[in-house]
Amino acid sequence: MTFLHPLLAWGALAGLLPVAIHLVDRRRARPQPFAAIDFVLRARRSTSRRLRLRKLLLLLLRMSLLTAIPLALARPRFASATAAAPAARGPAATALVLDASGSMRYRLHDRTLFSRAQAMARDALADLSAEEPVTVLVCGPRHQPAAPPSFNHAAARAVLDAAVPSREPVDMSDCVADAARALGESPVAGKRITVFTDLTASDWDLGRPTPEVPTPAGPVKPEVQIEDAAEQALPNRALSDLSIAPAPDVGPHAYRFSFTVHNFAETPAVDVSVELAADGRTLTRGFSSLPAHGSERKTLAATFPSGQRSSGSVRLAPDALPDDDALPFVLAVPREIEVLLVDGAPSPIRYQDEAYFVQEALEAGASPVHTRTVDPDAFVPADLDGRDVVFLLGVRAVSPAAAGALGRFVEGGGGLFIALGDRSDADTLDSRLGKLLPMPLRLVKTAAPPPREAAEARSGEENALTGSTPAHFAQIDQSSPIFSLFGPAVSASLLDVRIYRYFLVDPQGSTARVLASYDDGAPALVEGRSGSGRILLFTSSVAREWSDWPIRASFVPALQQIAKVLSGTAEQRADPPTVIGHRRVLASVSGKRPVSVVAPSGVELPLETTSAEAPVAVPTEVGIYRVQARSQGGAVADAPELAFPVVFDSRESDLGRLEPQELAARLGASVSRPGNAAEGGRRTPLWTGLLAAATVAFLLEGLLLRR
Amino acid sequence: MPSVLDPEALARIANLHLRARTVVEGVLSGLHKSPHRGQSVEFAEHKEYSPGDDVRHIDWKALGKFDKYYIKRFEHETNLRAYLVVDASASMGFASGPLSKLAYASTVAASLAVLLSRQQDAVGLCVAHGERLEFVPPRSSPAHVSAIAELLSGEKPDGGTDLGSLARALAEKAPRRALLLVFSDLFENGGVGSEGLRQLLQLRSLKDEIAVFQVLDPAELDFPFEDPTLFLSMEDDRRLETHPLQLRDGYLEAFGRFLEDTRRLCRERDVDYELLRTDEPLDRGIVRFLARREGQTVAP
Repeated sequence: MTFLHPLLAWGALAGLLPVAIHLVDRRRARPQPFAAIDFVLRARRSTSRRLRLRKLLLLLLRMSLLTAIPLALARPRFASATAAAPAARGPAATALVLDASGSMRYRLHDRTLFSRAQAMARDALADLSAEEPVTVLVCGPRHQPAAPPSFNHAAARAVLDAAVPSREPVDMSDCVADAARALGESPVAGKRITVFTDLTASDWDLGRPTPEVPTPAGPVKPEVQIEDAAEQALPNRALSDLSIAPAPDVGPHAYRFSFTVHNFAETPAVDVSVELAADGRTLTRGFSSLPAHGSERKTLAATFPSGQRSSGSVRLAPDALPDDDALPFVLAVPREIEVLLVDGAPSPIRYQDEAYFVQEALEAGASPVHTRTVDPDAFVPADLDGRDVVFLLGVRAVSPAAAGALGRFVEGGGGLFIALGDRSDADTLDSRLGKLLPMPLRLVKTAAPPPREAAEARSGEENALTGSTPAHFAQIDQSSPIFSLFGPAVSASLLDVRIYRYFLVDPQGSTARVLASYDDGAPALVEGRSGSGRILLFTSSVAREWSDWPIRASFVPALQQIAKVLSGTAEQRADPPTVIGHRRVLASVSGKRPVSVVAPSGVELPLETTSAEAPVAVPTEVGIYRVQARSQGGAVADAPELAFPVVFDSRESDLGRLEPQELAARLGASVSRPGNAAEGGRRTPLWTGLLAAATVAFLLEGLLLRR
Repeated sequence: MPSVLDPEALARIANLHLRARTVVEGVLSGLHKSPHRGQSVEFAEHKEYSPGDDVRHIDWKALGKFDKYYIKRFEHETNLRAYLVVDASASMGFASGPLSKLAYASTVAASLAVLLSRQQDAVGLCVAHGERLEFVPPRSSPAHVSAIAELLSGEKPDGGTDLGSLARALAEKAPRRALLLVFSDLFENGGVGSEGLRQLLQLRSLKDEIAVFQVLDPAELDFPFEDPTLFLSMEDDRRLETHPLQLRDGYLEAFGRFLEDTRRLCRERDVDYELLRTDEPLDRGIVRFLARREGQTVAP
């Protein structure tokens, strides 16, 4: 035990005063001849035992009273032997390093670790003498360099009081090194660094060299003391790595939420409840049982209303560190897509029908696409009402009226997909569709005879075919929204597609974008724009007559993606979350430029903006951030489509601790825990207990005297 | 030190009449009236004759004058013999004020002696120093009172308290039907209820009239000691060092029980009892005593 004011502790000898007074009183007893001594003796006999006990109690109470008061004034504190040594070495320039990492938000005994560390730091500051300069370094993710030590303890106290914990990892090793550097700016010979931390391993880099204080006489090692705010390994559960994918097998507009549940604890966790909630209600719930220090990949699926943006979270029951118990998300669910199929080669034999494979592909599974099929001859402008996309499939030509209607349809934002076939007439189509064709059609090229024609040729003698090897997709623009979502299997399947015959197009003078080409370099899929709408030209057929694509694995996802792209719903997908503390680039969408970002708490985030680049925000909270954007017209308004989720940094979820002695050995430090320190956290300081004991002794003494 | 014959006390007592509450026997002297009639010659009053009256006492002259029978009644004085019994044991020497208990008791006893002497009563004295007793036979002359006062003034507290020996001596030497005025603190080594006090009170059965004046110091009644004190016995070598505050309650309880037991014993034996505090005016206890014997009440 040490004392803040050791001289006052000598006052505890006052506890001997009652004994001395007792002895003096015995000598000073005044002789008194007394006639009624019989009655005195009788009273003495009847009260002898009680009096002796009372006398002893009084003596003890008075000794306690006189001992406790000076001890309380001396401000005692318990400290380990290692901790006491540096404290007894006299004045030193002191740096108080306060861990402000996300793990310090952990609540222990109704207080956060940060609050406990803060209280410990305040006590340490109060224990410093006036001749000890001090600097306070709040070690956050983007902390300022430590200030030179100052004798202004009030300013240091203000820094401590104003400190708040972050939600991000920090580099404590760097902060200690920075504190050591700052101590070099003080002329006081003694150098001391006191670190208040929970010893979370992820915040320390033990590979760094031992901190040194630069002085004119050369670097010196500071006294480093670690104040452990956590006391023990703390259990925590967390969620991480959320991914959202459509779940057509579950139903239309269903999504599958995959995430990892972690159990950072020494004991297994059984039936941990995880729920998926959105728009204020719980959609589904699952349970997970985890071994000690284990994790599990878990999936929950739910259906969402189409054409809306849903925000919600996957969440655990909140624990002592609630920031990592929820994974927020923003999900844009595409609306239903209405597609008109203009079938250029209707057939009662379904697989020979030009639109058969397309229709099956577009409506496969839980696809949001609804189709309606018409013949070219029956195609009238009124058929375009309420449609998002029109598929012209192997039509020979369209009527001028229909072509005009299609032009207006696309200008107004509609999508047009053009596939060709045996019946397609290049000249007619070029003339009728005009600018609707991204590139003018030219000749038909046969890379290899289609299987049906090859079989017929083998049966006859005629062989007028020009090649013998089918073409393949060779150059695919993976950045296009049609192909960007394809996984490796689908992409490989796409490259295996055999194309037997296709139209050559004339790229000259065209600004259209080639999304895919054949292995001879001829464009296969060309994207053009007209007004607000998009046009895709596939230079071959989507029926079996010119290629085998309809029976390939890539056909269904490609056709559905084409429908989404042409309808303008392809961009409506789950936004990948931003990890807290990481930069979020706020790209403009649909001509809207973000101008401000509001955190879940309502605080507006500062934006890093340059004239050329998109603004950048660094989120500091977990949750969904609102974005306000300026439209092309100049009006500023909320842009729900720009809202984005921010998740906790999972590195701070694992509260795995460094061995205190390991860290101490690395830093040349001593470690003290709140458990054996006199004043730490909210624990009542020892001196107040002593004062309380003195008060009780005083009251009891008065009570005994009155009896 | 004031005189044992305080003039002021005597002046107040002179206005009161000492009367015996029960007529034992003797003759009227001063205010004392005897139930026995016929031996004196001094006419007192007439009483109308009723059957049974002694015909020798018919006033024939009155018969001739009023034609009625009257009986002549006479008064004659009889001298009361009183013994002042003063306990002069060592415990009576205790004093927390200007007067020790012995000095106080001597003053009151002398005052009563003067009073009795004025009424032509004979007053004797018995001073007890434990088993050692000093007797002065009762006489009624004023000079005798002075001798008693002088003797009392010269007494020093000494010896223990032995009420049993005192009772036996009084039974032998005191004349019958005497008035015994006992002045003592009644402290005996055995405490209250001892055989000595009982024997003293049994003198009442020998047709003696007894009045007990228990003389106590206020320090004995109130136990005002606060500082650590070494209490020393005044009659033997017992001693006790203690903190009086711690014992005060127990002491007052025991002492109160002692006083109550003493009063009860006196009441049971039809003995007058008077508590005299040495810090109260000297005449107050005498006045209370006389008033009670007169059947009056006097404010304390």
